[in-house]
Amino acid sequence: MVFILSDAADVTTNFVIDWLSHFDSDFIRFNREDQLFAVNIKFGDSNDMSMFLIDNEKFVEIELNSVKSFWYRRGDFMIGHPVSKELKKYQHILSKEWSCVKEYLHFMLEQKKSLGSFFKEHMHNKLITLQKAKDIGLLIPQTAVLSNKEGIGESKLITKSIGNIFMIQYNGMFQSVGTQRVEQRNLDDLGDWFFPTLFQNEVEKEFEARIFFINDEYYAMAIFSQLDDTTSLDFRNYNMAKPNRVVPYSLPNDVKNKLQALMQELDLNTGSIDMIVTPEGDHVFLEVNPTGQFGWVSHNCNYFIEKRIASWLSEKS
Amino acid sequence: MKKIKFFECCHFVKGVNRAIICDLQRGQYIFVPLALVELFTQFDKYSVEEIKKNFPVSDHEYIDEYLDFLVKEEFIFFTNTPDLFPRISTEWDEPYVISNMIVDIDKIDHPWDKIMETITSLGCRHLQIRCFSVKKIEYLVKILYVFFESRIASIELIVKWDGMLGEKDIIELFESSQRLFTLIIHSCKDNAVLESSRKKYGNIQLTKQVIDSSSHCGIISQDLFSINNGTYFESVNYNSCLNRKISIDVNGDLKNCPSMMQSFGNINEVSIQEALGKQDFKKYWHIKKDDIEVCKKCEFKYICTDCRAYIENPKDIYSKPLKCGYNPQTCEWEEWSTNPLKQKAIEYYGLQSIL
Repeated sequence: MVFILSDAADVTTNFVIDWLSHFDSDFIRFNREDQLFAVNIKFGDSNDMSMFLIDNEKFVEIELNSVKSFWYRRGDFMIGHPVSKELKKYQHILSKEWSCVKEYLHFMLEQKKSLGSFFKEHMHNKLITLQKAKDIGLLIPQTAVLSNKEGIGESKLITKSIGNIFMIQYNGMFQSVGTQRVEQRNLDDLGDWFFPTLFQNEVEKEFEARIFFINDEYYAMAIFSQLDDTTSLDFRNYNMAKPNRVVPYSLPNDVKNKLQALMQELDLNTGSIDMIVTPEGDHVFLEVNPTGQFGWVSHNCNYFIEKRIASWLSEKS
Repeated sequence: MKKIKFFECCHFVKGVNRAIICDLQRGQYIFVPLALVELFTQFDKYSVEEIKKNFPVSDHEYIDEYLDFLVKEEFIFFTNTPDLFPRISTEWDEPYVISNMIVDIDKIDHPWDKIMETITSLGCRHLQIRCFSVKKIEYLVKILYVFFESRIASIELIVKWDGMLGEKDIIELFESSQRLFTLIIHSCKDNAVLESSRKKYGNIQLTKQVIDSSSHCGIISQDLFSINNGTYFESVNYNSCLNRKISIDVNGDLKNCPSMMQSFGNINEVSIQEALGKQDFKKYWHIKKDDIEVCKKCEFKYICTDCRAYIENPKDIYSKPLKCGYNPQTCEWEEWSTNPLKQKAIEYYGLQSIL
């Protein structure tokens, strides 16, 4: 059986499941939204542990033995056991208790043939990754985390979140904050000292590359975001009326080798990598997202990545 | 010197006298002269200067004009590394044994539970139910409800106007199935597209057309063009109407399409799997546009639909769809039904009554 952990809204998971069904592979899907009512775990040999995961709609007993492969697409195991009034005030303690339990569930599942990882996703640090990328010999943008303006030079700068991309409420609208240019007036608005902030030199683009990988298979797509003013800084500021040109791309071998070395160093067996290819043809590494979206890479480049993931999860070995 | 490269989401499709550039990403196509296709097939990955070397100076102006146009429309770009941009794969596949199904209803009812059970196991995504005679709302609701929990992604329901179908009935239909995407009501007094009062319901179309049998199907028209990866690559590899389709006609006969003669057994006697397994069931799936006379020379071949039920020469399964009025020689659309060359086939299929 293939065990999948995901979000209820994740369409990509549906597509992979369609392929699993087509291959006659058994699967079970859990979503972040599935509130577990109860969990019984009996410790035994790690091979014959069984989990009883119960939510309001389904009663599921999972023998760990029967799980042949695990796909951590995204999400988490959430406990929804009703808490008595007296215990409510100890909610923070209960969450910590639960953290240990769910981490154990993740750990046991990741012992299987597995793709993606809860731990890798949550421990992932973009700054450490950038440092490792540089050490391996990949080009990265000139990067600094600064609390004052002293280190800021004359060149064009961008800023973005140091952690994951986030949403904020601004002018009454929820907006995700992608990459932003740092204008002089932004700098003028800042005091002498400010909260540690990421600054990078803006890298000139010929195009962007989005690369999904599963083990040693790399699926790259070129995104011609610079043809369009709305997307020239960050393709995630989508232009719906006239979408960016996106086409299959093959990475030069030395770039691919270095990416593979980096992913090995980070111990990631899947993820989505963002790069910029400069007019000079340099490939500049921006970041890797361990649970990044790949549906649009697959669709636009006709790569059948969902089918590949399903077949990898179903393969016996 | 930078080389010219076509964006792989844009495909040239050559016809007899003109070509189209099919922009699969933006869902559009434009007409271009054949000369332009020749130019780029021959000089793919050349630089502008290299192309120009092959032409007299007097032609350079036209080459520049072409290039300006292609750059402006974002069909081409310039790159130092054309070899890093591979051709897009033209493979097509879907995780469903059957992807779409048509069920016709007239006088007799069908074993809906059996249909539901089978198509769920086959993965069927799209279901079209066509009622040629007036059916009670309760009956339709009952059918829709059978598919309430299924892998079907969309249902199109075609019903006959009974003179009293009201908003309440329509809401009841949509409420009984989240999968109902389109409701077409035929034999109406007027044509209209209704905005449902609440956005959560699908499309509602009224048509004056009387759809009283499967002979109305098989129309080839520009209105039915579909410009996207799925249709394009499926058409390159398979039949753009019948691939992975199964149908049940008004008598319960299992067929490739209700309009076709050949039956692979009756739903009340054989299972859908048995019918699928019969020799010849999948024969038509593999007749692609490049195998079909006339179509294979048509610039619209990969964005168009097909019809194998009504063809110009009923004795040749590779002949052109009868209900197509397009002539790739003249690049003109004409009324197919009055074409003198088609009269014999129209008679053969007994289509005079619907014209």
